[in-house]
Amino acid sequence: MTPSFITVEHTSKSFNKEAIFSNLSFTLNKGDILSIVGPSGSGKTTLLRCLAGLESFSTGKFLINGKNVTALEANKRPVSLVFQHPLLFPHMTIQENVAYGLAFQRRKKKERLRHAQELINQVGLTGYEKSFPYELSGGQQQRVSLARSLAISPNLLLLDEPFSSLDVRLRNEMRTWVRQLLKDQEITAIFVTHDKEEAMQMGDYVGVFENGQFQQIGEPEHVYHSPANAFVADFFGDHLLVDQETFIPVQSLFLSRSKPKQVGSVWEGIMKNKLHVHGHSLYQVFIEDLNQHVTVSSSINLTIDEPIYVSAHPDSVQTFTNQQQRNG
Amino acid sequence: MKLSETNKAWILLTPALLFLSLPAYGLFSAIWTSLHENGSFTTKHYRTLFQQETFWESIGYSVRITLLSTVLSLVLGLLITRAFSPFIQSTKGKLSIWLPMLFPHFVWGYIVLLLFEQSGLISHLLVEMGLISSTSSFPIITNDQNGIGIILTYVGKETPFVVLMLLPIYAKQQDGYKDLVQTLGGGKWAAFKDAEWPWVSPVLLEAGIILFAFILSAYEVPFLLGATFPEMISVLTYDWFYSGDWNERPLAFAAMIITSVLIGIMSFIAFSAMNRKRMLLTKGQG
Repeated sequence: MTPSFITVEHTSKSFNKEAIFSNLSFTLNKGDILSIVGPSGSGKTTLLRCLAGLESFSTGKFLINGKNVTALEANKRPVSLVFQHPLLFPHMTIQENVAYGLAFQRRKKKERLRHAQELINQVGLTGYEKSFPYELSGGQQQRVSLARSLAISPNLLLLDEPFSSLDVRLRNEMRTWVRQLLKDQEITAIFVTHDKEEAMQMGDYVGVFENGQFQQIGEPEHVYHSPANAFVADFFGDHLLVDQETFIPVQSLFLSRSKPKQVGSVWEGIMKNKLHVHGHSLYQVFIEDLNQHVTVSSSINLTIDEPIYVSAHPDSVQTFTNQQQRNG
Repeated sequence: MKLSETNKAWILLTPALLFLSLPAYGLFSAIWTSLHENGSFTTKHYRTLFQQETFWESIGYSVRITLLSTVLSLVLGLLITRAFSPFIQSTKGKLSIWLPMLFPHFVWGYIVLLLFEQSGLISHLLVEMGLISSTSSFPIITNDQNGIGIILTYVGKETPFVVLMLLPIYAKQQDGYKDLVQTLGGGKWAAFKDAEWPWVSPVLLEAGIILFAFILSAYEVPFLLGATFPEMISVLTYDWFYSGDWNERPLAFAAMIITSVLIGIMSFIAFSAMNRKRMLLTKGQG
């Protein structure tokens, strides 16, 4: 078995005895992209800062390509970080911004500028070399920021919610585009977000993070369809949580005005909201017995606050996998 | 009646312009007097002025003291702000910085005199402690030819001003840029040079120009703490202006005009060097 390119072993971090995360372990192969998704305050940004070397791990080991980098300072680690905001130096041109990190690698100026130009071309900003950051749009600025982080040829690229300051349309474009770029260049990356769609779109694997723990790591489709526990089902999937052990995938639910017979599970609900996505009518229904909102597709024409039955066939009730971590 | 944007701006500017008309009138009247004799135009006063050795001595001495006081205040102000920034931003910290700002320069100068003159408090204290044999062994640092007393006063009084000018920059400084420099491979020096200095330098320069202009032309501190020779330009001008000889009055005007021109040149150079950078910094924030 070939050793993993990135190995994080039993790491933990605490501030003033308060644990931010503990006993975290995962591995990545070269070129893998891992999306870490979780609610705000779950500790995912701290994990990223520890990986970047901006904070130190309280315990554990971090290896890149077999080399232990746990004790290395941020500026000595082969890791670079793309921040939430582009943080371009406003007084430098785009080319100077992209070439910035190369100066610390003692490369000659001519070579630095040539390499920066290559990256500017790769991120589709040819012609903007001599422009200043304020002349670029938010999306373009974030692309420059990405180019700058890629310029130093890091072994691991960390991205901390880099699209959160962009508008929805631009965000969607950037996701597809950045993923393609990372894949084309075989860059190993960890992408942090609080948006589950973004996590699914960006990662080869997703890690659902809460309470300083990975609740589940796996391929997006697997985590979506087979959540390990109630938190993952609620946060990452579209499921109706029946109890702490079982759930029903939302596509197995149907709505009816009269109470259906010969069906295992039936709940009374109230229609709260209606939306239209990809040609389907979706209804947001509140089920008082379960104290949950669930969004179900239906062809019935419902009005707001109308009572409705939500039902599912007994076969569709599933049990959480409780699978904790991805191996290899 | 609806006012156009331009007219509105002019109306809003009127009080400021009216206020500025006073010093402007003073300046033009000084230029006029320095360039006229018996009602006709002449450059005689400037020629006389440029031939006076006292004038050149005084200008050189003034610029030297001004530059030293300014640079020392800027450096100290920067060091203090960097070292104590979180404390200074608290109410206690702000108060301790504001306190020296409340004293008039003359009072501050008087304190320096009381403390540092040869028969002053410090010299007596050193004698009491047995570190020097008599007060006459204490070095002369007030009313001295090197202007140490003047410099001490200005540094004590202007450093808090520099701190107050820098404080907003440090209060809203984003740590993000420093983290960024580190993740790209830069050390502490690079973090200062690229993630701090570009924001700090325009403010330092601005504070520097204000201090330069003020110290070069202020009168009371060099009058109180200066030596009889050489004198700072403001003291020399005052002497000429109020001397019994009326012929020296145009010289006083000419000397002050030269001082104004000097300040003007310094400000012009500094602002033109910084304007573009400043524009980029304010526009590209984020």
